[in-house]
This record gives sequence, structure tokens and C-alpha cells, in this order.
Amino acid sequence: MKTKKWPFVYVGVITAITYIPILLTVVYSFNESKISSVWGGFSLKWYVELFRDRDIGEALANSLILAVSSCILAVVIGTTGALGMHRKKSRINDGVAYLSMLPIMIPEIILGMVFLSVFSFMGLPFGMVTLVIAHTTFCIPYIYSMVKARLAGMDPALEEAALDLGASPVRVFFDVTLPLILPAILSGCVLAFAMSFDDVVISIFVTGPTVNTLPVKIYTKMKTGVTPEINALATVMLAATIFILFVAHLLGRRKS
Amino acid sequence: MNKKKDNHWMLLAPIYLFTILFVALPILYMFLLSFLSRAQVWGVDFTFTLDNYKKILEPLYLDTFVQSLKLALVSTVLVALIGYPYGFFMARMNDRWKKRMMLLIMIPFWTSGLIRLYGWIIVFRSNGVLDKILQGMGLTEEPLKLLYSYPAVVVGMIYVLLPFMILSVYSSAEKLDDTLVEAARDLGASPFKAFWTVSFKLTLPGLLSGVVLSFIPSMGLFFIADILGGNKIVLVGSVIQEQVTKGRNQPFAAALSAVLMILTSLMIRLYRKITGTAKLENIV
Amino acid sequence: MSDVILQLNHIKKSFGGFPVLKGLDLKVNRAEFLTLLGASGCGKTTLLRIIAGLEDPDEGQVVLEGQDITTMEPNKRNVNTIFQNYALFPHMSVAENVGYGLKIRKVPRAEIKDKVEKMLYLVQMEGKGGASPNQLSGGQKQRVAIARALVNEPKVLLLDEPLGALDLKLRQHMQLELKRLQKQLGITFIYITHDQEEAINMSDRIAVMRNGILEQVGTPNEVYYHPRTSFVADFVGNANILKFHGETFAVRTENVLMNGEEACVHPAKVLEKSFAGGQLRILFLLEDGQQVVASRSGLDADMAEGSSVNIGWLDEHAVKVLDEGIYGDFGTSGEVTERQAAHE
Repeated sequence: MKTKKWPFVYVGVITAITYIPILLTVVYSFNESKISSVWGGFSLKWYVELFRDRDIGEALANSLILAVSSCILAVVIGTTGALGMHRKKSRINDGVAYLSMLPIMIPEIILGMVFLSVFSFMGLPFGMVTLVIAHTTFCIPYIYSMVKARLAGMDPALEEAALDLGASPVRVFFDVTLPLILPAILSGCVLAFAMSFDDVVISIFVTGPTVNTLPVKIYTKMKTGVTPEINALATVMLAATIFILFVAHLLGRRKS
Repeated sequence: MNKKKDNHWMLLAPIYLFTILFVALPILYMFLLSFLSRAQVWGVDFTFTLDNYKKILEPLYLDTFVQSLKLALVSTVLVALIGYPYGFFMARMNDRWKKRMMLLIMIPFWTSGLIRLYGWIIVFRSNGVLDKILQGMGLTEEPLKLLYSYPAVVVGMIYVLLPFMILSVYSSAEKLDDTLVEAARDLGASPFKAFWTVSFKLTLPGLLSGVVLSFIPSMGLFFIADILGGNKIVLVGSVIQEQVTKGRNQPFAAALSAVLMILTSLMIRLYRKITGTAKLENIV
Repeated sequence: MSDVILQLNHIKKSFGGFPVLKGLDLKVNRAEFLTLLGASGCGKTTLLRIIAGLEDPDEGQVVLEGQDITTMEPNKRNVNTIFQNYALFPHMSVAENVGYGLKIRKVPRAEIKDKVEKMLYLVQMEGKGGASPNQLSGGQKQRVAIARALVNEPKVLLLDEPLGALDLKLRQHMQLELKRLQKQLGITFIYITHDQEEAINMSDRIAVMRNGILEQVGTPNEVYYHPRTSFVADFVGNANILKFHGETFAVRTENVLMNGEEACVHPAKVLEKSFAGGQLRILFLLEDGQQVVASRSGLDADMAEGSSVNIGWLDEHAVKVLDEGIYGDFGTSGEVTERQAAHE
């Protein structure tokens, strides 16, 4: 078809606008002045302050521990669940699948509220354990749905061929099924990790007085006032994101 | 197959256990809680009452609900208006540009939502970047005081929700077969008519799932209203959080959540009815 | 006298600097069945898209019934297309698909219903109006696509390898049916194919295309019996292209004579025998190194591989052609030989 120029212009302009606040954050992270409307010259002092801030370091460590453990739990539960539901279809299974998807279907605030009330009813102490449970519930759907979709698109003859060639069911799983669903598990994991690492709403409800995650820490800092330290933190996180995405992009290109 | 049947219960056990224990029962508990009353000092009194739901109907809280729905609606409509053409055009680019644009969208998407909002504070703050630019152009003299205003909250909402819309429109527009549009043109349709009768109709499921994906979270994103709206804009999400943390009135928060949840499931229902999606997972 | 309905004047088109059409002229007569025959990549689909208005030519004109329509939008042209993959709208029923063009033209609803029903009857799809395109078989989709185009009574119907996706039996059946429809309705068909049998079976005239130009335009008889160039001889007639005394001749495989006949003056060695497509094929090696293929009906011939025989052909069967070095350039010729290999 004949192509036109203005769609490109539109996409370009919108993309540029979405980058304005990000770029400003980066620029101001190097601002000597504490007031963001004034440019006080180039400085790295906020980075120095950031790396000295023990709370932030601790919060980052907590966030990483939380995201990794929720992902691992979610991979086990979500993958086995998807495999089981794929093998045997029943109404009860559909119902449980529906319920397991609910945590990402409903507004996060409801989930936070639900967990807070249940955990206090059960008398569980708020802290890492409650955080991991809560995060696992909303990590499972990402992994479950990805694996389920992959299984649905998989030729059942592949598993049967392996059985036919003499492999035991366990070998079939490790030789055929797992390699085929691994990309789905991984992309589900990436999504789940990002969602857990970024979560504020649910974490605020289920975290205890002694445990802070990075987003919760940022949130309280942002509410209490202006801290240019956040600019520096944002820049570091942005750089990390770009680096990871760029590597993924390059790997993806090499593959294709 | 018999061999497969043997272990399928073992495979299902974890998800059954976890889902029932940490999803089904807690949600049931929330509904139960919404009919209980608040204890005098601390915790919950196990006496049945409808007071929590009656309280929602009080003008103060009813207004909050209406405001939240209005904000969610305004944000979602704007997100659809901005995001639909974006996702549609992106799907029409060549593979190279598609990959580049995807990367450009993913970078902010993967960066912390809070941190992205922080950039807007710099833009909107009194005598901030936007004020400076407008004053520089001679359009305004006084600071606009945009931060902690309704428009700032809407911008924040759009900003956080836009990637969901773009990606969901994109994924359905990418499947659109170009020859269908050509066939429509060939059969006498003008470019607009061909778009409306073929392209738009076929990408409608993507648009609708984008709408659902924006509308549902937008009712609970209290932190956006908190950061960019100050305490001027009170949403259901903020009320729930306040009732739980400061007010210590769990039953009332539960009632608010229950109503929100029912609204949400009505939305999903409606969506499934329109698009005929049989499985919930397809939305995600 | 034939009456020209569509005229293409010196059409040129290139994509990203690569010329696809190199100044192509063609006149199409009213109510004729014209086939554009060529290997994939020869530019035939581009030409069709230019006629339909889906591409603009870089140079040249498209004239429909005396009117220059070169820059006219596709929706304004009274030309319809059957797309290669049928391009049926998946979100509309069969009847809605067929009625789409009429609805766009704001034809009254009752009339649309009436015309759609008649058209569905004509393509033997009566009673299928409510079905969704996804429920149809390949042949049925094909019929719906035909109905959807023909219901608009186009001046010219363009068909882009419409039978390519069908299996052999259905394809042969649909060839007859398309021909029947074309005769019955008296509409000009421009038909694209890479299959020379299909072209010969259906066409009033064949335009053989190669590398963005027309090599020869003529009736199936002319193209088959009097190929102008070595490419046409090989592509349409599966002929041996042989060079003697600096001149190039085309000799079709069935005209190669073996043993005992008077014209057999060339000593040759039997290289290979094979049976394919109901024919026995024998590959000979001439003394000057040229290879000749002969074909015969029947299962076997009375000669062993490696034996020496005399072969030849009647003078009238050796058609002098312009040598275009059919194996000389990559791209088309490579695909041609590959395709023929698959065919034979």
C-alpha cells in the first residue's frame, strides 16, 4: 500500500512527550541545587548521598529478595498448575484457574486490603513472609497464563513421539516439554519480576514496620518532600533498565 | 492417556492449595468482613450489620466513588484516544521500526512507576519546567500551580496507563491482514470507510482489552492522586487505604473494596460479552 | 475488430531502486480472458496492483475505456480484484462480504439482498450466506471471493493466482468454472498465474512476462507453437533449447524422434530414463555436449541407459527463436527450472 508520513510524526511526538519527564529526572540528578527549578551547576553530590544512604541499600536488597523469591514460588506453582490443567480439563479446574488469575484482574488496592485484613485475622506478623505471599499471588498469573498459552500451541504429537521412542514420562518432561515451555516461563518471569519489583500499592498494605521495599521507600520519600536523591536513584534505575533491555534486544536480534 | 493421569493431581496440588488459601478464602473473608462491625478499640466485632454499606451511601463517600469513576473514565477515554492511533500506526511500521518503538515503549514501562511520576513533579511544580517554558514564550506570567491539580493527576494516570493501551492495540493491529484493507478499497471503500468497516472493527478487541486494562487499575491507583494531586483529590483507593491504616475501620474498607470488586467484575463481564472472549486469561 | 477496454502505456515501477516493471505496454480487449504468465518475481502481481490502484506506477498510464485512471484511488475504479489469499473479511458473514461493495455504494438494502442471493447462486453457494468465512473450505472461500468481486459488475476483474492454494483436482474444476462465469457474464478477466497449463486451458490470450517486460503476447496457440523467444519456448512449451550453426531452435520434448526415423541424424547417448506425470522421459547427450529431453507416453522404451542411438526432429518442429539465454540470469530462470522440475 502507499505509505504516508504523518503516522510516523504522531508516534514520534507522543514518544518524545513520554520521555520528557524521564530526561528531566536525569538532568536534575546532576543539579547542584536542591531546588529543582534552579540550575546550580553540575554535581554528583546526590549520587554520593544516594550510595551513602543505608536505608535505600537495604530497601533495594529487600526488593530483590522479595522479587526473586516470589518469582521462584510463582514459577513452581504456576508451571505445575498450567501443566496439570492442560492435561486434565474439568469445570473445577477452570474455576481454580479463574481464581488464580483474579489477583491481576482486580484493582491492586483490593488485593492489598484483602491481604491486610486476612493476615491480621490469622495473626501473621507483617514482614517479608507476608510480602512474599502477597507478591506470589500476583506473580502466578503471569507465569501461568504464558505457560498455558504455550502448551495450548504445542503439538501433542511431540510428547507422544518421545514416549513412542521409549522415553519415560519423566524424561519426556525434561527432554521435550520443559525445553518447549521454557521461553514462556522465562518471559512470564520477566513480567512477574518487574511487577513485583515495582509494586507499591500491595506492599504498603502488607509490609511490616521494619521491612521496607524500594518502591515503598521512594513513595514515603516522595510524600515527605523533595529529595534530589530520588533523581539520582531514578537515573541509576533507568540506566539499569536500559542496559538490561538493550542486552535482551541484542540477544533477540542474534537469535533471529 | 493413563500414564499422564497418574501425576496430574500432584501437578495441580500447589496451585489448588495456594489459590484456595491465599485468593479464594481471603476474598470470601473480605466479603464477610464487610458485614461485620468495627470493634470499639481494636479489631473486628463479629456481629452482623449492613451499616458499612449504608455508610457508602453517605454523600461524602458516594461522592468519592463518583469522583473515582469519573477520573477513571476520563483517563481511560484519553488513554484510548492517544494510545489507539499509536498502537495502530506502530503495527503498520516495518519490522525494524517496530522493534525500535517497542524498546522505546518498554524502557519507561519497566522503569518504576513512581519514578516516572516524579519527573512530572519537576514539570508541573510552581516555577517548574512547564511554567518556565510558558513564561518564556510569554503565554503566562504567574505560575500555573498545576501540581496538585486535577489535570496533573489525569496526566499521571495517562502516563502510567498508556503502555497497556498501546501494547494491547498493537498486538491486535499487528494481526490485521493488509490485503483486507486493500480488498475493501478495491470494493469501493474510501480510506476512511475502509478503516472504519474493516481495520477498526478487527482491532476493536484490542482497544476494548486496552480499555479494561486501563479502567480497572485506574480505580485503585491512589498513589498517583496522592503524589500529583496532593490531598485535594480523594479517590476510593485513598479512602480504603486511609480506613485501613489510619481509621482502623477494616469492615468499612472491606465494604468499599467489595463494591469496587463488583464494579470491576461487571466491567470484565461486559467486556467478555462484547468480544466473546471465552477465557479470562486472554485479556492479559 | 476487437474493442480495447484497458490500455497500459509504458508502465514503469521500481521498489527501493530495484526496477520491477520496465516500461510495459499492453492492450486488453473487452470480454477477453487474458492471462499474465510468469515466474514469481517477474512483476506480474505489481502490474495487477497498479491496474487495481493499490500501487502507483512511477511512469506510464493506465487507461480504462478511454479514461486515464493512473492516479485514481482504488475505490473509485470500476475494477475489482480476487486476492491471492481471498482476503475475506473474517468479522462479516458470507452475505455481508458479498454485499460489502454494494453497501459502500449505498445500494438499497432489499436490492443488495437480492443481488447477493443471485450471485451466491451463480457461484453455487446458495444458502451459505449466513456462514462465517472461517467455516468455509478453500474452494468455498474462493467462490465467495469471486462472488464478492463480480456482484459489483466490474469492467475488469483482476485475479491474482486465485487457484494457487487449492489442490490439483479442485483447481482443475475451478478453472472450468471460472471460464464458464467469464463467458456467461462477459466480463474482462486479467488472470495471473505461473502455471502454463492453467494459462493454456483458460485464456483467450496469454501475455508471457519476464523481468518486468512482456516477452510475447498471443493466443495460446501462438505462444505454444510459435514462441518468439527461447524463454517463452521453455516456459510455456517445455521445449529443448538447442543451438546449431549460431542459431537457436526450440524443439518440444514430444517432437524429439528416436531411432529408425529418417530425420534422426544426430548421434546421441541415452543418459537417463525416468517416468513421471504419465510420461516417459529420456535424457540424451548429443556429441557436441548439448542435452536433449524426449518424452513419450507409455512406460518404457526399447533402449538401455548408456546405449547409443540416433535422434532428430522434423524441420517444422524446430522453431527458430530469439536466444535470451534462459539460464543466463539468476532470479527468474532459476525459479523457472526449479518449477519445471517440480512439474515434470
